[in-house]
Amino acid sequence: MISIELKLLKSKKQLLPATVLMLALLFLALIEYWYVAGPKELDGASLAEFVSIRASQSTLPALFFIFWVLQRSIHLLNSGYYKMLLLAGWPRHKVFFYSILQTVIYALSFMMLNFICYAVLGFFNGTNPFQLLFYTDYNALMSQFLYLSATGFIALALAFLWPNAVIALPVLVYWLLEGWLASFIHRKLESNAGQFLPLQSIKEIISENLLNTQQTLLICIYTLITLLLLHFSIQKRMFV
Amino acid sequence: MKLKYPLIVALIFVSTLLANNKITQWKTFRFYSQLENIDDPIRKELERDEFLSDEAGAQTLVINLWATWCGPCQKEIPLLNTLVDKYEDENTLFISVTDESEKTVSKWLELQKNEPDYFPLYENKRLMNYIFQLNPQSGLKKGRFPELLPTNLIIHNGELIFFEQGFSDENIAQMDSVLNTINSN
Repeated sequence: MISIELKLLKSKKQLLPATVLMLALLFLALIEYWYVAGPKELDGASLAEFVSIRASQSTLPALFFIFWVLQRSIHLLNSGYYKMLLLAGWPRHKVFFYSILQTVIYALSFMMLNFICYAVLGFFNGTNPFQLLFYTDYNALMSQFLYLSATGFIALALAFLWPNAVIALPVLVYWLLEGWLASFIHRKLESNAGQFLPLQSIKEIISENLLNTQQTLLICIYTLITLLLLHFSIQKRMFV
Repeated sequence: MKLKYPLIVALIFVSTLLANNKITQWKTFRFYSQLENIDDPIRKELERDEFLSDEAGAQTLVINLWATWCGPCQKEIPLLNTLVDKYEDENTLFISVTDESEKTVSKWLELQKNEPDYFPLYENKRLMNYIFQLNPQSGLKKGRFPELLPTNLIIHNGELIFFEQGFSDENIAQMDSVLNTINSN
């Protein structure tokens, strides 16, 4: 499965979405260096530490990741790639595992691209890739990987349920709306009830704090629901 | 329909999440056990600050955790300012810590009657998390947002002598009395 996916990733058709993604990540990294870290006048190790914390805590890249997974999965679905796998004799549960593996590979590639962007811009801002690597908290990196995977599963389930590129728009609206609602509940009502919302509870994975039982349970429930939706969608779908 | 496949994936995901959380917890406890004084991380942050680096050696630190969206924090400002007028000297430093940016706080301050007279530290969620975990009443604090703001604490010679969450006149009176005792010694 891994070799099939790697071959697929090497295809020239991947070049355009990967470039768009890279530009978006480069833009985010530029904002972090220029707008956020700039006024603090940090350099060297302290800049590397600051930037790596910010990079592993930022939730916005997950939105780009969702779009990336959505466009990839919808393209593969509509081009008949999964149907071809089924015709080649793959059972449906293997397609399920394969799509999960794809999300994991995308998450890893996404993190690598993100690191490259930060490393490249680091040369112009007084730090270097080795300092970035040295001052990265690997637990935070693992949390980021889990967060990207969880959001990737949501994108995957959506892609299988509604394989239409227009789905990206309601996803964006929901992302913004949920963030606003959680912030509204938090600020106006001084309540943490907004944390029960799906994306907000998944965001807890990359917060700097330790997860408590309630938060862990919520993340488990939302992840399980997403995976069940994906599973049922693959089982019942008439692949064209 | 076989449900075992999504369950397997969910189980792997949750196990990894729990393991990662456990390692973070272990690292946090190890970090605390290595500290000589509980105010070390706070002084480290002060040393890094352009304006506060000279004050990092103050014997007594009076720390206020707050946010612009927190109504009770707003009510507390004039009362804390009174304490600043009364007790701030070369040995006593009053600081406020927030996870919000300087820009957000400045915009908010433009609309306020009372401005804090104590030194601010902005965008310092890490330090806030650390300070929440100093709470002697409930062990290790967990959660993304502070459950109770404002939080006030007083650290004297590396010893936590006051920690209260929430706003009340009694808390301010207690702080006054604690600072008075420190000064008279």
